[in-house]
Amino acid sequence: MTTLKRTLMIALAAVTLGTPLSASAQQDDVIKRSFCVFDPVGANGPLFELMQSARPMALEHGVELDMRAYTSEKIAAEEFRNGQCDFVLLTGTMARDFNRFTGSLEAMGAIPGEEEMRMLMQILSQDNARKYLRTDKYEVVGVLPAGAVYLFLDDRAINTVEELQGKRIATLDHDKASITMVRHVGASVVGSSTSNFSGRFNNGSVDAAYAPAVAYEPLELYKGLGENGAILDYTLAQMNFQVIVRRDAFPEEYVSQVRDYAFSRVDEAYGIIEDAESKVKEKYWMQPTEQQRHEYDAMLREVRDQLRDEGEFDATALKLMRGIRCRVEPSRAECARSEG
Amino acid sequence: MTAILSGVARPRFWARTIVLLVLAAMLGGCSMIRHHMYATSGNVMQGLSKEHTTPYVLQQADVGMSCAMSEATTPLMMSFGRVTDDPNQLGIMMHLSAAGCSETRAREQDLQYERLMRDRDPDAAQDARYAASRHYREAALRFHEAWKRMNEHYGHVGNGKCPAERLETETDQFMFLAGLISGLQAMNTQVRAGEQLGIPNNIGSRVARATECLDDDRWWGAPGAMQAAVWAMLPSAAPDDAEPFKQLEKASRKGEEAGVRLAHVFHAVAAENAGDRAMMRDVIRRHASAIEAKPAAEDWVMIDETATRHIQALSDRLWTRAQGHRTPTGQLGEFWDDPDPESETIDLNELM
Repeated sequence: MTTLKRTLMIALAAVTLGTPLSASAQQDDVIKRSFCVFDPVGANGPLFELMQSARPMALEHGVELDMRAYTSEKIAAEEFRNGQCDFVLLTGTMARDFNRFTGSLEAMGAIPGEEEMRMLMQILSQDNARKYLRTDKYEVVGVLPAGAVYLFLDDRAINTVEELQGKRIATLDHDKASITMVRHVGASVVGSSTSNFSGRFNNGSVDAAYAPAVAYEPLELYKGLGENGAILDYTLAQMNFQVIVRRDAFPEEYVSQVRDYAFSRVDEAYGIIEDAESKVKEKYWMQPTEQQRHEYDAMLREVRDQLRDEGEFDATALKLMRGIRCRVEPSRAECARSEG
Repeated sequence: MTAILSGVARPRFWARTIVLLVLAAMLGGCSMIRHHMYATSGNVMQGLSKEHTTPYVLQQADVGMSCAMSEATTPLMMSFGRVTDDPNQLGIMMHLSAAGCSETRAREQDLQYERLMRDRDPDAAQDARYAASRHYREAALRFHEAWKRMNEHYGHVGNGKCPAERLETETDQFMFLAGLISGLQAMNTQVRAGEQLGIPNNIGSRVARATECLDDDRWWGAPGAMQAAVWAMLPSAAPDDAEPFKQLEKASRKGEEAGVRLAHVFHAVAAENAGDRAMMRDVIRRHASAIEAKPAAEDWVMIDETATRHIQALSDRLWTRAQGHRTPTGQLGEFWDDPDPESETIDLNELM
C-alpha cells in the first residue's frame, strides 16, 4: 500500500513538474523577431492591421513577432538596414535598395493590368523563382499589389505628352525612376513625399500627380481634380508592397512558409483595390486613343531601358515582365522583337 | 336583368349596402386615425428622447445601461421614421451608443487574443482575433449609420459651410459632436474589422474640417483634439503649420479644466498611433489623476465616464501585453514597471 502510494506520489510529481518543464521547453523554441511595417497612417492604419494577422501564423511556426508601425518609409528602411528590424514591409520603390529584381516590378509600363500582375505573383511564388527573391543578406517573402498608378491632372486639356511639357508634377523625391520619367516628358519635378504630394495637388501648387486609386478617397484627390480635372486611364506602373526578411534571422523552413502565406493574400489586396477604384467618379476617367496608348507604351519602354542601362532596373525582371506581357497579348509590337 | 333590377329595388339590399359603405368609411377612417396616432406618438417619443431622455442619460454614469438601452430601443425609435420625420438627429446618438456596446465586446476579444498569444496558443488566438473582427464589423456599421444620420440632418458634413442654422442650441451642437466622433470611429473600426464595409475613407479629412463648426472651449477641447488626432494620423489633411501634438496637449488641458476629459482619448490614441508609448502612458496617468482630482461636470457624466472606459481599454491592452491581465483594480494610471515610491523604512526595533 505504501509502495503504491509512493508510486502515485512520484507519478503525480512527475506530471506536475513535467508540465512546466515542457512549457518552458516550448518557450525556448520560440524565437523573437521584430516586424517593421510602413503604414502612412500609423499603428491604426490598414496595412499595419493587415500585417497583424501574420502574428498567430508566425507563432504557430515558432516565431514571436514584435510589430512596429512606421509612418516614414525611409526610417523603416533604415532601421531594417541597421538590423533593428528582422522583417520589413515597404513599397516596391523603396524595396529596390534591398533587391533590385523585385524593386523593378514597379517599373513604368512593365505590367499593364491585373491579369499580368496576377500572373507575375503566381510565377514569383514558385520555388524556381526564389533565386531572384534572395540576395546574400535579404529575401523578399511577399509581394502584395497596391493597384495601378494613374496620372491625375488638374486640367483635362492636358491630353497629350506635349501638353505635359513645362507642367509641374509632384514627384516622389526618393524615386530616381519617377524623376527620370517626369524629366523625360519635359515636365518639371516638384520634389514631394507621400505625406505632402496630395496637399500640393489639391491646393493647385502642382498641375499633376501620380498615385494609385487607393489614395483617391482618403487623400481627397477629387479636390485637386475639381471640375476640369481628369485621371488618365492608362497604367503608368503597378504599385506594390513587399515584405523582406533578413535571411540570417530566420530558419530556412520558416521563410518558405511566410512566402506561401504572403502570396496567398493577393485576393484580399485586390478586394481593397477594386473597392477603391469603384469610388472614383466616372467623369474623371479620360480615355487615351489606341494610337496614344501605343505611343505611351513606346515612351515608357524607352525610359525603362534607359533606367536599366543606368543600373536602376534589373534586366532579368524587365525581361520576365516582357514575357508576361507577350504571353497575355502576343500582338504587342514589342513581342516581335527578341530583346528585353 | 329583371332579377337584378328587382333585387336592387328591395329594402334589404339597401340596408346591406349602407352598412358596407359605413364599414368601409370607418375602416378607412381608422387607418387615418391610426396613422395620426402613430405620427403623434412618434413626435412625442422623439421630443421626449431629445428633451428629456438624452439629457437624463448624459447625467448618469452607467455606460452599460445606456448602451443596452440604445441597442434595445434604437430600432423602435428609428421605426417612427416611417410615420413622421426621420429621427436622424436622435439616430446619431443612439447608433453611437449602440456601437459602443459592440466595441466593448470586440475589446474583450482583443484582450483574449493578447492573453492567448502570450500563452502561445496560436489557434485559439486566431479565433479570438476573428471574433473581435466580427464585433468590430458590427460596431463599424453602427458608427457608420450614426455618421449617415448626421449627414442627413446637418447636410454634407465637412464639405463647404457649417450648418449654422442647425447648430443653434446646445443639443444641436452636442449631436453634431457625437456625429463627428461616430465618423472617426466608423473609419477606425472598419480597419479593425479587416474588411471593406463601404465606409468612406475621406471621413477623417471631413471631420477635421467640420470640427471648426464647434466652439472648442464650450466642448471641452474635444473638437480641437479630434482635429489634431486626424492631422497626426493623416498629415496630408493638415495645414503646413499644424502642430498636432501641441494642439492635443492644449485640448487635454481644456478637458481637465472642464471636468469632461474626452480630449484625453484622442490624445492617447494619437500617441499610440505614432508609437509614442511614453506619451500614451503619460496621458493615461493624467486621466487617472484628473478624474481623481475633480468630479465630472454634472451634465456630462456619461461622456466623461465613456472617456474613462476608453482610457481604461488602452491601459488594459498595455497591461495584458506585458503582464497577461488587464489593469488591476484601482490601478488605472499605474504601470507594472513603475519604480517603487521611495518611502522611509522604519526599523521595527526602533519603535519597540
